[in-house]
Amino acid sequence: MAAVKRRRGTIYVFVMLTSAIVASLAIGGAVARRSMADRMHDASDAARARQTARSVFELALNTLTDDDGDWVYTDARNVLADVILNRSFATAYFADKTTHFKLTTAELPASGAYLIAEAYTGNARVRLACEVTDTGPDLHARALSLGPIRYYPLNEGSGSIGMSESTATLGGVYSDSNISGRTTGPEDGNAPWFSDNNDNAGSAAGANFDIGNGTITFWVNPGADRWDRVIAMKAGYFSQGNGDVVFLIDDDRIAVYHEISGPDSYLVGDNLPENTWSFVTYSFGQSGAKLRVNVNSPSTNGSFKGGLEYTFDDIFRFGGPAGYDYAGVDEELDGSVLGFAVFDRILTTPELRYIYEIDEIPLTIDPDSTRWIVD
Amino acid sequence: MNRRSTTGVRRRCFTLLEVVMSSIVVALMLVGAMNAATAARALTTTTNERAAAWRLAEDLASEVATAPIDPMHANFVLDLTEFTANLLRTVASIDADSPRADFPTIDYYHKWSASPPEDVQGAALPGFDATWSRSVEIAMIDEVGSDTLVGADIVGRRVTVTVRRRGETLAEITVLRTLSGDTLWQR
Repeated sequence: MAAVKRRRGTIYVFVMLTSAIVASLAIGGAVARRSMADRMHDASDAARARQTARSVFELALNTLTDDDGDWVYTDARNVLADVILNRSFATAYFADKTTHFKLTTAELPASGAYLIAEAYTGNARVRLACEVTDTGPDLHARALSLGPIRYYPLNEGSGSIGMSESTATLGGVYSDSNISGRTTGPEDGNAPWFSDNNDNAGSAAGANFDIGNGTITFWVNPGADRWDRVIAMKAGYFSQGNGDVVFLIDDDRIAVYHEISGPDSYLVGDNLPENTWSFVTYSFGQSGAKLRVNVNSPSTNGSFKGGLEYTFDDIFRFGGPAGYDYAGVDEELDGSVLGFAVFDRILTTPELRYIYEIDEIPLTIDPDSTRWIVD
Repeated sequence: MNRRSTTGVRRRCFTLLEVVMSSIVVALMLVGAMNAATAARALTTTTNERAAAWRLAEDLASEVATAPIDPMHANFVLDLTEFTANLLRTVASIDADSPRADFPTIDYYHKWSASPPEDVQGAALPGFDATWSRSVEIAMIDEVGSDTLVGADIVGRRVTVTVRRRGETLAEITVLRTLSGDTLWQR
């Protein structure tokens, strides 16, 4: 009787043990495969997030640059772009290069920043980081690189506005200045604001030189009052004479009066929009005179033949004639002048465009710094 | 005597009920285990296929998304139909057998497909037969990434890569591309 009970118990144990083993193997296998499937889903989530992060990165770059690839500053609160794609959400922003904290504005610091694209999908968070710097040459560097014989940046810091008369580099002091304020110019260059009330600045040393063929370029931003205003002039303090050149606003339009020991030239060009920076170029020489705004189609005087002539104690004066009535125009400028350059040759159109398109390709992205961070 | 003898035999054997119950328990366990094993195997196959499909999709999406956008085509009047895609390829002397390595810009990928999946030089990828296919669709997008139409402000392309097996979509991934990205993804 006892032997039968033991045998029967053994069989019971065998059946139950076998069933438990089979069940354990089946359930264990299923759990393992489910885990594998979950990992696959995580991998596909990461793939989705990577492509979505890449996409928002592209949209951010598009936000930061215009159709020509030029840099565009934005006032957005550092949300450069966001997108929903691949069942994931992504956003792009600037982050400090050191702390990696999100910056408070979308303006790229001079030292550069990380452009971060962050995407979330299911269990995956993906970040794409890329170092971005604005390393494009500013308007001064561009003009100076073309070798002007005189250069007046007009964007020096607070206090005296200065430059060296003779070496065309920054430094030195203008002889007199009475500037009401400063404004931001192209590529963030600071410029004095002439308030049409005896505000003007004169170059310290005489602009005493002869130029047979030459070019003058500068930026101007006129204020609301644009009726017969002197922008800049090369002329003596007390007399009007040969070799003088005066840039003025003639009924909202740019104009230049050029006086030589022959037939003078008076050219009127395009409109200068209010509170807008315009790039003015004037070339002159034996082949005539050309006046252009923003390197557009020039106003020309083909019969004019002349340059800038030497006159003793002439200076360049910006912002007005300082009480000097020039050809009936004695109004002070209401506006700003920036980056006044004098070249002793006629610049080509590509050279002019090089100065004008100061923000061309300023955006430098270091591909080596591009990397994925998958959490 | 006979009764006692019979009773003794009964005590040494299993009852019919015990045998039946044991068999049922074992059978149920085996059936359940077989079902679980079959389902797990199917899940494994599906998982492996989908993982492979995602790899295929992402590889091709990354490749297409790093192709340059020809500025001449940036706002090109592309209705991006198959006809236009073929026209583009014809202009660039790219025929149906040309490998992707010959595609000069992103637009040439439009309506491209291959079965079995190929590498960039046109060689079939190992491990994939003709039941697999990869295809690319390209659409024009505006500045927020939405699909747009010819004549609107087109800033880039939307690339959609689809991987199928036996007609079933296993993976589909979308990536956006803008002109500005040429700076970043130069190749």
